Amino acid sequence: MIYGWVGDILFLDLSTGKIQHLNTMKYAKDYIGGRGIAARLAWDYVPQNIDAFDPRNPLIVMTGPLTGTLAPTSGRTIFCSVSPRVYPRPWYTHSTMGGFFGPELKYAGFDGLIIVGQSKEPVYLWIDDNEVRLLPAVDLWGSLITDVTNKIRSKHGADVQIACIGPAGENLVRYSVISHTPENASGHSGFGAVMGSKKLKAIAVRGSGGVKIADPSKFIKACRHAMDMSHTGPIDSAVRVKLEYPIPATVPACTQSCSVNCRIHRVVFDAPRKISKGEPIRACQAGCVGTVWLRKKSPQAQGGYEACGIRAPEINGWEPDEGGAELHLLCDDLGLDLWCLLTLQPWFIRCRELGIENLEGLKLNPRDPEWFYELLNMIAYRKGIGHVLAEDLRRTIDNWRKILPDELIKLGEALEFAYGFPAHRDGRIWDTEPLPFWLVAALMYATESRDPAIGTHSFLHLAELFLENKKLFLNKMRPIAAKLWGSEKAIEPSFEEKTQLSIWCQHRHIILDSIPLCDFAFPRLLKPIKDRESWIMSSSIYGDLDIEANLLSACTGLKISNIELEKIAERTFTLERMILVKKFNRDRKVDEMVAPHFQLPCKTDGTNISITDFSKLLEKYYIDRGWSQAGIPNVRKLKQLGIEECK
Amino acid sequence: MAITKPIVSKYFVKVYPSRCRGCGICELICSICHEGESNPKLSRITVEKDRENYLFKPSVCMQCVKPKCVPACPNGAIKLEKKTGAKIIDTELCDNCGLCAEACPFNSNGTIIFSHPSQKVYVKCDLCFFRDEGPACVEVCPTQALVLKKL
Repeated sequence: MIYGWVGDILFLDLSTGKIQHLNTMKYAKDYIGGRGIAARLAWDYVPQNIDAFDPRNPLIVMTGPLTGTLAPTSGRTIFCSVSPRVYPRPWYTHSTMGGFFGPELKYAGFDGLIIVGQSKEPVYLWIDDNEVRLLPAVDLWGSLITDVTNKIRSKHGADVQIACIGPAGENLVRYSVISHTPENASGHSGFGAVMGSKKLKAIAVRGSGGVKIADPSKFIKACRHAMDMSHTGPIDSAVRVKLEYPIPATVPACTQSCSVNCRIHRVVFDAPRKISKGEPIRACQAGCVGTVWLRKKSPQAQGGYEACGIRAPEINGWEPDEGGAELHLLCDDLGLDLWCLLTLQPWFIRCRELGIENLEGLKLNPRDPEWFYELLNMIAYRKGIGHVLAEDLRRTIDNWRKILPDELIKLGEALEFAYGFPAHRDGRIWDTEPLPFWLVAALMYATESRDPAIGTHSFLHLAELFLENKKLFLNKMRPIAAKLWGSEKAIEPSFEEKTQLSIWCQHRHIILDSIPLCDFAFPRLLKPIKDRESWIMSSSIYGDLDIEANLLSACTGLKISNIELEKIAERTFTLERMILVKKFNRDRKVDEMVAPHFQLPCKTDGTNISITDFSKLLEKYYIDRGWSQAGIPNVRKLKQLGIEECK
Repeated sequence: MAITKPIVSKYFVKVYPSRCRGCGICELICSICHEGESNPKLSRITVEKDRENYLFKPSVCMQCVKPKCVPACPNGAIKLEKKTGAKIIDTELCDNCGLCAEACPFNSNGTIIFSHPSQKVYVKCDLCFFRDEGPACVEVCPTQALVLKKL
């Protein structure tokens, strides 16, 4: 009997229609699931130096053993593939989402999918328990996300879960998403375009099976404990201590089994609509991630929330009621990564400020939401200037290098400094992490395939508590730092002893992406903090890092400790590194590409690091990792992790 | 079998749809407690999820004082559980005829009383009478959308 996993990974070749089955259990013990198993599959199936749009590029869709169970926030799906967005060259990376798609895939009997090849005509994949079929999608091709979802549901039933692409993915926009519901999406990595290149419009799933649990009563206890520890969410606690603003009692769960109700940044408001062309307002893509505004439908409405917009007026000048909500929803429908609003608008505004009024024949009017509405459409359909911008900002800048002033080139490079991914929790662009937080993030940026902050929110959000009262925070954190990261200095606002902390964050990220759980709620480094007073008064603030291992053990029946889980995470991390090294020529030189960004001063405390000092830090990081000074894991390390064949 | 004594309900799970966030934890714990696996389709409580409009509606047996399901059963298989007052289906006596499910006025979408696909008997909420902690769904609901109430 298999517990947790359902035992089967579907291997589908769209070119031939051939279906094979892989046994999950071959990988389960060494890699758990999600990003772990995906890394192993990628090592086996991703050809060297392959482009994202090469038919041989596999799109790997994975769940983990906890997906589909009541483990809090576990309803996640992990996508891995070669990303067209990565700059300067596509390489293998990951992108995860919440929702109900992964659980349904498991109920249908699959832990994951590997999709290779390319269909001649548009198709969608229909999985109804063990019935797997490729159906024609000619009539769906060109449809917006909402329409695809509705059409497939009206054909197969309202209980079907769907992951699909919009026009942006079809037209190979490098930052197009795979959308689900559409509150959830696999966003940044541009995997929508990978689906588009394969002519795969959607994956629709329905399952009637379940996920068997090895020790139900122990598992329920572990879940209860995890819920009790996380119900307020670490960020919620942190921010509430800082701000104590009124928050709505509940907002819809963005993923199956989410008990966290993190509520952060959500503000209920009533406001008139600004853009007349917008579709009726619906649910938000960003789910609990990002800065989301919800609009109250009516005082009588049950659950009563209607809409949202990404709230970043300090960056893009729009409140949701000034058109931000409509632009948000347009991104949802076209299947564009919402964050393109955050990079494109400030960049175009600077263009205007520097006196550039036209680009490629288009008059620039970036403060007008109606103008932006048109621009997003042009990008998704690759019309006019949209054809250039669809290549993402970094490639656009390269394209216009001769006509742009230096400042705009620098701004574009800063906005998407991380291999073409938007700046995120780097302390420089829109997030304001002070030392030591931005430095911990910087080391992760340098050594990973993409923006790493996406899986380490619960740690990076502690910056809020630090800023609230530095002395208090450091006093409370020093014992934890000494215990977990080798030195009290790890948590100090300094440049010393940060490598262990960065490595720890990276491993916790892999654990969450493998079992899987949401990084807004876990790991529970700190106890839940009720209010400011209990934060000040508490003598011990240490949370519980065994939660993940206990959930996993009770669910699967394997006896896995936290230490073993971190070891498995190290194996996955190292294997991901070897994929980049061996198949995509990653080395120290590439790692150092992010260094110039951290020469810019931090927005909060003005600190920065020179390229030379950053390089020294990286050397220390490599030593701690057991990598060579060229940034390549050495054979001894591979042997120690049991992956010496991956050299 | 005719019912001679009046049915005495003690408890029921009261649903507050406005508090529900649609996370589905209730469905998953219900199916673990009754089936040993997480499977929403085997859960005795079901959340209708209209995610487009953010409307969520859990539906579960209300343990009626004057239940229509009990007299509808030709085999007298629906009995009163003494500790909780839950109406429970005796699987030994149930012959899967479905008259109880038809008789229930709240079961229009077939999620409150339904036929178990592999066991071929009807199943419904039994208030987890076998658990000391009471109904599991009530225990884990993160927003108190489910509350155990006394009739």
